[in-house]
Amino acid sequence: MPALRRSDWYDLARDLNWNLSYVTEDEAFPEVMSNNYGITPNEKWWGWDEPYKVSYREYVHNQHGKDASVYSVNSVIARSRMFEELDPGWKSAIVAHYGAIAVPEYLAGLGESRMGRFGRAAAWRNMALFGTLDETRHGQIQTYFPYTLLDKEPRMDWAHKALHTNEWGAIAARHLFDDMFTANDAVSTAIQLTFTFETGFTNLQFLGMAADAMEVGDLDFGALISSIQTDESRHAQQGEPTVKILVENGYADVAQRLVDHMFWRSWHVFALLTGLSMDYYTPLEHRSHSFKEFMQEWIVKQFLDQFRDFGLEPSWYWESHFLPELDWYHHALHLGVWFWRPTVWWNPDAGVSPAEREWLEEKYPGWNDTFGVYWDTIGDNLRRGEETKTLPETFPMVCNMCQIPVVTPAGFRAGKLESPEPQIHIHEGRQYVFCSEPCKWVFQLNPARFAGHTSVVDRFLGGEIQPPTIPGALEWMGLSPEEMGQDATNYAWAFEGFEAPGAAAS
Amino acid sequence: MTVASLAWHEAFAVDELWEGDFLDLEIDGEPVLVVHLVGGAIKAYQGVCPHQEVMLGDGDWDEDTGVLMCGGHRWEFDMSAGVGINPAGCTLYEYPTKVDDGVVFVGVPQDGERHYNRCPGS
Ligand code: FES
Ligand SMILES: [Fe+2]
Ligand SMILES: [Fe+2]
Repeated sequence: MPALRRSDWYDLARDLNWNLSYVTEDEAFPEVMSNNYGITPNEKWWGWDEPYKVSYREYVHNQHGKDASVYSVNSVIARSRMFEELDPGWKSAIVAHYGAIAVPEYLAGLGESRMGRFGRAAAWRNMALFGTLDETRHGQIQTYFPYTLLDKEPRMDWAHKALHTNEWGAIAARHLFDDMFTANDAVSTAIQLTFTFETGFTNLQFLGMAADAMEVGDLDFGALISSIQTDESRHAQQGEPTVKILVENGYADVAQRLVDHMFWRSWHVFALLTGLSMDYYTPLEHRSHSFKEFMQEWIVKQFLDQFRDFGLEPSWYWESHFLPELDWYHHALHLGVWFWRPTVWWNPDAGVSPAEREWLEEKYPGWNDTFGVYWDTIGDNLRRGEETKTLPETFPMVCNMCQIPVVTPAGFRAGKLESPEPQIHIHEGRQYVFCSEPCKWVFQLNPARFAGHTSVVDRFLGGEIQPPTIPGALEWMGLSPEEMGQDATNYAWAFEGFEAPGAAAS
Repeated sequence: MTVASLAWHEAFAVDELWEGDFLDLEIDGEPVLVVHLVGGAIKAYQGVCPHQEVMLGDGDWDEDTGVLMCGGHRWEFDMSAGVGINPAGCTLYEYPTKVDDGVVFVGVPQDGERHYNRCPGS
């Protein structure tokens, strides 16, 4: 053990800030890499101080221990039948998770390394170096674990493949993560990735998910997620000191705008991934709370506290758009993802057996009237043997910001939107479609950043996808027939409680 | 604050909580973490982390060093004194305790205030 306590030498050792003389500040920290938002000279950033401190020696020691333990859990479990015995809905949640998250972890490493070079204080660059190593580890571990499951579930290769395809969910993830960290400057990354996304969403989600995984008996995933969370929780702490510097220098409005922008975008992708997992894919007997309860008790509470602590306000859309969406948005997405199941790389679990519907109605009063009726029709069709009626023939509109299908009619039906119409916006002669006012608002904040992107539907209509048919589009998305999603339980849910001859219920 | 302004709540019998263990309790509607330190002292602190209010009882507890690490973001507290080690300078709210006839009591001030400290991102 070192003879000195960390606190005796730490401040001195990390104080590597100095004034530049051979180059200008702008040359060393160009705005595109590190937007100081007008806070100059650079000394004003030197007070940046991370709350939780760790030395390089401690870091390496800790990380080595974490890797040793999580990889040994994996190698023991690989020889067991644990995976085969997991619930099919849970497996789908895992396959979806790996595809959407593994490669973005590497990308987060790019964002971290940009902060590691262009962060405006030495202490910050030091933290971001650890963050870079963390995210590299997360990318590796989350491509390796699914790799060890390939013989049991070939679609585990989507952990690596998804982000390299044009699958629509992968485009939505890529669009979000490029905006948040791959193509973001260091200061904005600290507010948007570490403060908004990691502190606000993923760290809390990972805490909950690790517990859920243990509940359903997925020790492998549980160990993985909790190991990742221990890193996430540390490097996420780059956000708070950065917000503090902005606020102290009179730029609370900048921090507010960056948070409002990324909170909304994160919320939509979070609803898509986590909303479906929690309320439909996780086996009923293991659900400790609904997605809405999780959002209210963890995410909403934490954001309100953070807004208060740092002198920010709840986002302008908080009461008017965000809170109402908690009641309907992810239910609408679930219906859409299940119906368009050939377009995703996992097997959507309908999750609407009689007992599950009762739970949904209890957690979301009115669910039966708003969403249950669609599932009634789908169930009827399946029981009549008319599966084709439960499969898509066209594509929905896709939002030009979140890249997620527009589901406004469901919000209107649920009584939460004034109109079923999407938001239409014309910019430099091109028409853009948005699923919500906040998505349109994010576009308008910085049109030059977003205007050139074309959504899946723009490309379809623009003739880029040939042949312009559903099979043509599926091929363009990288989905072979074997990879396309199917109902996770082979429609067992539709026959539960029905004594149809030849029913698949068992 | 005078003793008269405290409401004493019976928490548990001393022999229910071994040395080196801790208990997560709700007392008078407030989350309270009671620790029985190696050496015998019994201390009661705010049950939620002063950083972002994750339950301290869900953290990692090292009974030998008396250090508790919050599961939220790894903050460490020396539970013999209720002070932050990493980061330093963040103190836990401490409730008075007393042992009477083998029973541990926790005192809750009747002042209408919330009994926990916060150290957001400091
Ligand atoms: S909530 Fe305890 S360390 Fe952040
Ligand atoms: Fe990560
Ligand atoms: Fe991260």
